[in-house]
Order: sequence, then structure tokens, then C-alpha cells
Amino acid sequence: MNISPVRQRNYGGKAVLALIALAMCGVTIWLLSNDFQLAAATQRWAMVTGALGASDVLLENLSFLQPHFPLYVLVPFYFIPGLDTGAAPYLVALLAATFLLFMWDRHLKEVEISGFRHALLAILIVSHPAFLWAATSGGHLMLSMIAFYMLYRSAQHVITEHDIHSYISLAVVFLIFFFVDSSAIFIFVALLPLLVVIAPIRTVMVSPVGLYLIVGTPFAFAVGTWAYMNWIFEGDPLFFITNADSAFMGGMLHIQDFPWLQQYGGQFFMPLIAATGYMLVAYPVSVYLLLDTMDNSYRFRASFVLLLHPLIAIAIATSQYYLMHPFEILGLLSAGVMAELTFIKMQSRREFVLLVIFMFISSVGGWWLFSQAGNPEMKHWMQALQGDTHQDSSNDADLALGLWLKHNRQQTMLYDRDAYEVIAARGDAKGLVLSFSNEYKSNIRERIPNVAQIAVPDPTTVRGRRDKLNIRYPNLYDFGMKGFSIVYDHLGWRVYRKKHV
Amino acid sequence: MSKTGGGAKPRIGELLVSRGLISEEQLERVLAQQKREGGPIGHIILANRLVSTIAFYDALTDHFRRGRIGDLLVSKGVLSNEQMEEAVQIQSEWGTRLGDIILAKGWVSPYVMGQVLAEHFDKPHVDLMDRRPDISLLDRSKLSVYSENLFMPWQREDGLLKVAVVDVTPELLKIVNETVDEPFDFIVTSKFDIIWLLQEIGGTYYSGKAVHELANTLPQYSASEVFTVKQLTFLFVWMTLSIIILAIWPIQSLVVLNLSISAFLMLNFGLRMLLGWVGGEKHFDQYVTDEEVLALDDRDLPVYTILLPMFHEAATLPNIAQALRTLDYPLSKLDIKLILEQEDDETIDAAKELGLEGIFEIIRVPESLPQTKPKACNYALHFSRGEMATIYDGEDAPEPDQLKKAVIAFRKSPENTAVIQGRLNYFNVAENWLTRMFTMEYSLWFDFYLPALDYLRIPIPLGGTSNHFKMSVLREMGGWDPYNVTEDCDFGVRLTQAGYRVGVMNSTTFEEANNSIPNWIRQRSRWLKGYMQSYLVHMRSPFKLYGELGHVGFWGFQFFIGGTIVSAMLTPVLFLMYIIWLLTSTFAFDPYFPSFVLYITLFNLLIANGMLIYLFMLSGFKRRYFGLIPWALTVPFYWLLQSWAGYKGFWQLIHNPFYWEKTHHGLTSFEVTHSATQPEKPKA
Repeated sequence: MNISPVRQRNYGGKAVLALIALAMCGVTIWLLSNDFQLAAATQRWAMVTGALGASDVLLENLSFLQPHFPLYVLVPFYFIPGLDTGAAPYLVALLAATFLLFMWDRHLKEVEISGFRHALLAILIVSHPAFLWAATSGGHLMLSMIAFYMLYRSAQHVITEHDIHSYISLAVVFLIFFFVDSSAIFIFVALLPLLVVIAPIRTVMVSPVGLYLIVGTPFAFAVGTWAYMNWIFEGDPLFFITNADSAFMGGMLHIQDFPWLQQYGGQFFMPLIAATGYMLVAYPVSVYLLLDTMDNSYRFRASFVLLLHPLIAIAIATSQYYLMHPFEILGLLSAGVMAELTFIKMQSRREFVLLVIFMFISSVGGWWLFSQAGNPEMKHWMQALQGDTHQDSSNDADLALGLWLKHNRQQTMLYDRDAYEVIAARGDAKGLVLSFSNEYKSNIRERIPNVAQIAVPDPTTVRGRRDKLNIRYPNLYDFGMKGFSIVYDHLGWRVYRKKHV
Repeated sequence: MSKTGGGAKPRIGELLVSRGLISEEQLERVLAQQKREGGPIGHIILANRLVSTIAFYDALTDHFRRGRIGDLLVSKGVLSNEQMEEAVQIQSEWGTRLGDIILAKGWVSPYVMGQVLAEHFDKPHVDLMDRRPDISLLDRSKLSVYSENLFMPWQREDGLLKVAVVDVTPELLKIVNETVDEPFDFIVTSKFDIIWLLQEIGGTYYSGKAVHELANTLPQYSASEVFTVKQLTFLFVWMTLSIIILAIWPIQSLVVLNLSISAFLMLNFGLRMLLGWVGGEKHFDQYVTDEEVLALDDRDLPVYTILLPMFHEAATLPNIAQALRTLDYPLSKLDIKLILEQEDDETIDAAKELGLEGIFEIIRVPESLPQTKPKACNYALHFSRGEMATIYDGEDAPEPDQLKKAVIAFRKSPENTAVIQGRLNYFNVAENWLTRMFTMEYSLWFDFYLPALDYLRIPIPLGGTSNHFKMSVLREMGGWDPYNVTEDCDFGVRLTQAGYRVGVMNSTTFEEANNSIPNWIRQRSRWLKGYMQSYLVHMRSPFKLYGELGHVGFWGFQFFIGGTIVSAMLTPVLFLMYIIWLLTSTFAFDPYFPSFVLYITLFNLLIANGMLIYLFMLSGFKRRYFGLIPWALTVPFYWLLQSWAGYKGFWQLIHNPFYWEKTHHGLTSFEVTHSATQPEKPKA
């Protein structure tokens, strides 16, 4: 059978991507087998499990304290047998990374590069720690990267085509971004001053208001929708930016836990400079792209925006005490660079070699930065990658309680906001009386709740102090409750069971 | 008629013998008859059917012709040498006859041209108003043929039928020959004489055809019957069952109703988003390029009929006349019909006073019910001679190259394309809130939705004007439905059902946006009533419609036409419920909004409505009417107005279904312009 060289190249490129996807899958399995687990991933999975395991499956069970899209994508996996171990978030991250790579592959055809170059670029992209971290850590960052990639593709189209589709894409991607990542607001605001670089100058001059309305209205509607949902279901439209548990507040209430915020929180220019330093180490390729495109107005404008946009977003997010670590936004540059590669012509050998060198340097710089300035989870991830983590799971209180509840499947009342690991370890929430349910709300009004079991953490711990059951029944942990007897007491968790059950 | 003797010319008889059309013996017999009875020899030859009229004039054209038309006009002093030279120059560009060009330019009146033409062909020129035709010679079943080709049997002289014509061409003689089916000769007259006389004689016939033709030939497509018996039966059964179900399961049935409405609105929103995206494709704006227009050879252009129905619009007449004069199209290939109601003396007088060129013809529509625009257009179709046809309204300002673009669009489109819809927009964009809303709505409709409908093969509800038809299809389809008050919408669906394609093109006609709310309500209530009529007509046989339109077409029709009606009717109900809930925080609605219904409703309220507002913004953005964009935020109030009009239209559908709510034009203080770049220019 004859296959044309172009198709062969195409198949070759796809085969490399498939291998890369398999390799990422292997890395994830390796990480999980080395005791790496991302708290945020567990929390997301526990939320989905809790909501879908409730007697009334309701949207509001997910709360409105974090964007919902990363939760919705987990929903189908709840119904797949064998995924009750909490692996779904990791699978989703891997699938998202694969999706992004194949989408990028499709768009790369526009610049007509050879299969070898294509494969090389793909390997360099994936080997950057920011991409690999997003793909294998089970967080929602890979979904943000997809949104960011599409954002840049739209921005490029506004620069070159400035047709109505490009503006719609830009605006709708922002709308979606809001439901994907709580940092979207900062990414949106950071792009506003740069719109004058992206949009045709004639449009900017004639009607800047019109331009901003076209790009910004869907995002504003998204924010408005969220506020409305908060009002309807939580009674306060600002609930999502005032509640202490809200992801939209970032690190604002826990500044002491984050060195970045301790150092730069509330400032604009210092984090801008620091982020520039981070970028120069982890993404010097974006500087190279800027310099390489100076002779082409369109490409230069795109590169300029790619360079500045994340830095401004980091500065604004830090000034608002939101950003816990610069890589939360800086990591998106990997997707930005991918989008940039679909836009530039790498015709000459010299250009391509330089690009590869800079991407390689970026990757090396990224790994160095991860090792030196990563947050504890990043460092744990790196250790797990190296296979030298030795975590003793027998000391994990939540895991132990979760597994105990798994084998003692009785109706159990539990304040879930800080107990997501318990739910994840249990595997499902069937029979759990969680804080969003009407059953919980009616029982907590009673002097003695009418449930089979109640689980409470030690009230002397931070978590125990925040636990609503401890607040409602302050003597429960220590002295029990009339009609209940203690059936579990291990590592700071106690479970009381109704005597006649 | 020719003479037997004289001059240097060879004799007619000899010429015919030399051509082998008659024999020597026949000539001898004819000469003998002439000697006995007198009269021109040509008459005798034709009357004896020795030669057909066509063959006779084919052989003898040069024999009769005297000089050239242009020279004759110059020699008579009615045309200057400069005009003559210009006409010759134009002739080389347009490829039409000199006489047509001179008439189109208005340099010579049609009456004088008739006289000169008669002289040219050596025929008598007859003023039909003075020497009226013998009505008994007219075949009433062929009145349309007479009016479409501008001839009519006049009188019988010496046993030979004389036919009054306004022009002499082999094609016309062939048609006359086929129509009268007997030997004939012709006399020359003015085209206005024929048009007026045929209207006078055949007014009832034309009017009857205009009103009843569709209802008689294709009753299933006629809105003359608002509800069929089947539909009424269905409605009765459905309502009875609904009441029973509601009585037995009140909450559950209301939940189902609520869910159905919410799901319908969500799908309707989805369709509109899809249309917004697909219609935003760049290539729709480049379907016909300026380069293609420039490359067009005027000589290849077809004759174009422009139908201009007007009613009490004397004020707008000079504007539209000027707009049509300035069209970038050979004027001699324009066949413009000013279609005026017979009792509308004001507009008729205004048209006469304007002294319009020969390309403008006044068609007076006799009084009859229903008094609608489609009936008037159907009436005028009998007098139309174009290969293509379009409709404009009195306040329209089409872009000058629109007709050429339509010709190119047809050439680029599949063979089964029956009509190409141009875009409509407004020149008084920024006059007030209402005109701003209207402009955004039209921009969305014509710049986004219709191209997308075309692409997705969903029936296109045609706009009221600037739709360019192939005349043959227009006639084949029986014209417009005079009982349907949105005959354009109905016609678009009917064409799709018949297997024709309805296309769109990137040329805009600028109209006057309604700037008064009562006037707008009148207009919109008619439109929505018409949509209801169209929906009812085409849903008489839903399965047949499904088969004809296919999956996409059928559901597109349900949501795009049906959805427009349903949205208009439901909006105030839903708004009212929402406001009551907001003000009172009542729990009364809770049982009817279980969680899954509530989520869909919330999605519709927040995301769908938000994005529909955004579509309005985009429409302004695409047209570069940037000033409109912030105004899009007020569009929910416009939706309420639409609902008001919807209920009024629904009321009228039941009580006065065929009443044409007249929209008053000429209310704007803005200057009529077809410029898209400076639309916000008030009159000086």
C-alpha cells in the first residue's frame, strides 16, 4: 500500500504524540505508586463523590467556592467501575494533556514542519516541568492550559484575521476560562491593556469601548452568573469571594503558608520583576520568540503579548494576595509557547536550531526552578518522580478513617469541608450525611442528631476547630453524646454510633 | 402596409417568389385578387395564409425599414447629435438597442419613440386611447401573455388581424404568432397605451389571478384558510387532554410543561448560537467581490424587473426613483414597476408629476381584498418582462451594484437556486433607541442568521425586500400568497419545499428603521402574525414537511420560525414570574421547578440571555456600528416590545387574519443613503 509522504509524516507525528501520552501515563502511575497525591485532586474527587453520592443529586452540592468545570469533567468517571480509588483526577489531567497535544498537532500543520521537528518540539514541550506537572499531578492546571492555549490562538487570529470569529473566540474562551480556573479574572484583567496591541489599531482608535465590550462582555456575564448562583443558593452574591474556603480567594487568608505572598503580597512591581526573573529562567524561549519575530509585525505583537501577559497577571494576582506560587500562572506559558509555535514560521535551519536550544534551556531552567523554588507539593512531586519518597500511610488519619468507614457502611454525619480525604478514601459518599444536604441541615438543628454515626476530628487541632459539628456539639469529641457510644478512636478522629444500631 | 408599386425597391411579390416563399402561380392569383378587390399585396398574401407573418417579415424586413432609428430621431430634432453619439457609445457597452437606451435615458418620450418606430418600419402609429381595440378580438385567457410581451390584438382590417405592438423583433412576432394563431399584421403603438388598456380591460382578470391563483392551484400552501379542520381537531383534542392531565396530575404536568418550555428555549438559544457562529464566517461577506462586479460584461446582463409596491408613499417616491436611477446596471435592461393601488391618487399623481423615464411603468392595482403587498406584486407580475426580478420598498436605498451582485451570485450558485436574498439594514441607525435596537436586530438577522441558514440548508424566511428571483421560478410557484402577511417568509419555505435553494449575498439595501414605537408595533405584529400564518400553513402536513425539508431543515424551521413565535409569546410570562419571585421571594413556584428544570431555567436566564445580548453586540461590531454596542444591554426591553407585538399579532390572526398593518414610512429626520460608512448622518 502506498502512503504519501505527507500522510506518513502525519501518522509519524501522531504516533510520537501517542507514545508521549503513554509515557505521561507511565509517569503518573509511577508518581502515584510513589505515594504522590495532590490534595487539590483528592478534594475535587471527594466533592464530586460527595455530590453524586447524596440522596438528592444537586448542583449546589458542589458549592460555588471553586470553578465547576474541573468538577464536571470528573462526573463521568464516577460511574466507571474501578475508578473509586480517586484516580479520576489524574486520568482527567492526562486526557486533557493528550487532547491539548493532539489539538496542537492539528494546528501545527499550518506552519508545515517535518515530522522529526514536530516530534522534537513535542518532546521539548512535554519535558518542561510545568507541562509535565500539569499533566501528571492530577490538578486542574492542564484544563487551564487548554483554555490558555485557545486564548492565545484566538489572540493570534485577532491579530492576523481580525474577523468576527476571532473576537467571538477570544470572548468565549474567557467565559469558559472563568469556569475552569479561579485565576481567570487576573488573566482577563491582565489582557485588557494588551488588547490595544492585539486588535487592529483602527478599531482601537474608533471605538475602544466597543472593543472592550466585545471581548469582555461574556466574561462579565460569567462573573455575574456566578454571583447570581451564589445569591440563589448561598444567599449572598459575594459568597464566593468572601468565604474563607473559597478558591477564588487564593492564598489571601493563609499568607503565612506561602513564601511568595509573604514576600510580595500586596505589591505590583516587585512581583512583576520577580516573575520576570522566573520567566527568564523557566521560559527564555519566549524572549527568543520575541526577538526572532521583530521583523514581522503580526508575529511580534503575538510574542510581545505572550511575554507580558502572564507577568502582568502574576503581578495583579499577587497584589490581591491571591497567587500562592508564580507557577500557578507562569506554568500556562507552556501552552502559550505551544500556541506561538503554531503561528511562527521556522523555515530556516538556524531558526529551528536556536528554537530547540532555547526550549531545551527553558526546560532545564524550569526543572532547576522547580527544585529550588517549587512549593511543597511540587517538591514532593519531584521526589516521587525520582522514586525516593517514603511516606508512611499508616499514620494518615483521614485515610484510616476513610477505610474504616468503607468497611462500616452506616449512615454517618460528617463535616466534609476539611474531610475530603476521608471521603476519597472511603471511595463514595453513599450513606454519608454531608454539610450540603438537607438531612445534615435538619439534624444539626437537633440537640441529638438522628443519624447512625457521627464522625468528628479532635477539636484541639486546626481542622477540629473549623469543624461545624464540633462547633455545634463542643463536648462531642471528648464526652460523646447521649444515646451514642464510641466505636472508632484513631489518630485524632472519633466516631460515635447510636446505641441501638 | 407595403405598397405594390413604386420606387427602386423590388416588388414584394417578386421578393417572396425569389425567396421561394410563394410560387409564381400564387403570385398571379394574389395579383388578380388585388386587381379585383384592391388593398396592399402584403395583406392579401398574409390573409390567404400563403406565408406566415414571421416568414413574411423575416424576408422583407429591409424592404420596410426606413432609415435608422437614431438618424430618424436626430432628423426630427428630438435627439441631439451629442445624445446620439452618447447612445451609440453606451450601446457598445450595454449591448442593447439604441431605442431602449434613448428611452431609458429619458431623452425621448415613449410616445414619440413609438411614432418614430412606426415610421422606421413603415407601419401606422396608433394611439390606442383614440382608436380603441376591438375587445372581441382579445382572448381573456391570454391576457397575461399580452401584458408580459406588450402586444394586443387591435382590430381586423380586410380580414387580416392587426396586432398592436410596441416593438418589432423576431422573438415577439413568434410569440404573437403562437398566441393569435392566425394570419396577422401589426401596427405600432406606445407601451403605456397597451399597459393602460390591458389594465382597464383585464383588471378583474389580473386581480382575480393575483388573489386566487395560489389558492386554486396549490391550496395546501394558501393561508386563505387560517386553521384547517385537521388543525382545529388536533388543537381541540390536545387542549382537552391537557386539561384532563392537568386536573389529574397538576404538579407533574406543570413540571413537564415547564421542562418542555425550558428545553425548547435552550435549544432555541443553541440554534441561534450556532447560526451566529456559522454566519460569522468571513467568506459570506466576500461571496461576490468587487473585482467580480468590475469584471462583469454589461452586455451579458439580463433584463431585470424591479417591483416597487407603494401605498400612500408619495413622499418617498423621489428618493427611491433616484436610488433606482443610480443603480450600476444598464438602465435599458431595467423594467421598473411602480405598483400603486388604484385609489391611491396621492402617490399616482406624485409619480406622474415626477415625469419619470420610460423604464418606470405605473401599474395600478384595482381595489379588491385582501389589500396586501403580495397581491399587488402578483398583479404586477403579469406586466413584468425581466428574466430576473426583485422587490424594493419605497424607502429603500440599495447599494448601487446590488443587481450585478445578484446576477453574479446566481451564476456562482447551484442551478436550483431560485432566489438570492440581499442584506437589509438601516440608514437612520442612531435616530433613537428603537432604531438602534432595530438596526442591531436586522444586522444579526441578515449578516449572521440568514447566511448560516443558507449554509445549513434550513429554510430561509425571505426579507420583505431585496430578494432577487429567477422570474421563471417565481411564475412557476404561482407568485406570492396574497393572504399571507409575511408572504416573503412563506415563499422562502415554499421554495425549499419545492426543492429550490434560497441563497444569500453580500449586498445591502438600506431602509428606514421604524422610529416610533406604535408604528413599530404595527409592523412587528404583522410580521409575527405572518410567521404564525406561515407556520400553520407549512405544518398542515408535518410528516410531508419533514420529508421535504429533511432533519436539519425541519427542526431548523421549528426552532427558527416556531422559536421566534414561541419566544415572543413566552417572554412576558417568564419575566412576570421572575419579577414576582424576585419581589415576593415566594415559594409558590418551587414545586414546578425541580432541580433539573431549575438548572435549565437558570442557564436560559443567565447564560442564554447573556449570550443573546452578546449576539446583538456582535451584530453592531460586524457592521462597524460601534456606537450601538453598549445599547445592546438594553435589548431585553426590546424583547418585551416584541412580545407585545406578538400578542397583538396573535389576536389579529384570530380576528382579522388577512389585515395588512401598514407601516408608515418617511418619518425619519435622517437622510436616505446607501452608505454603510456614514449611517448616522441627520438631514441637513
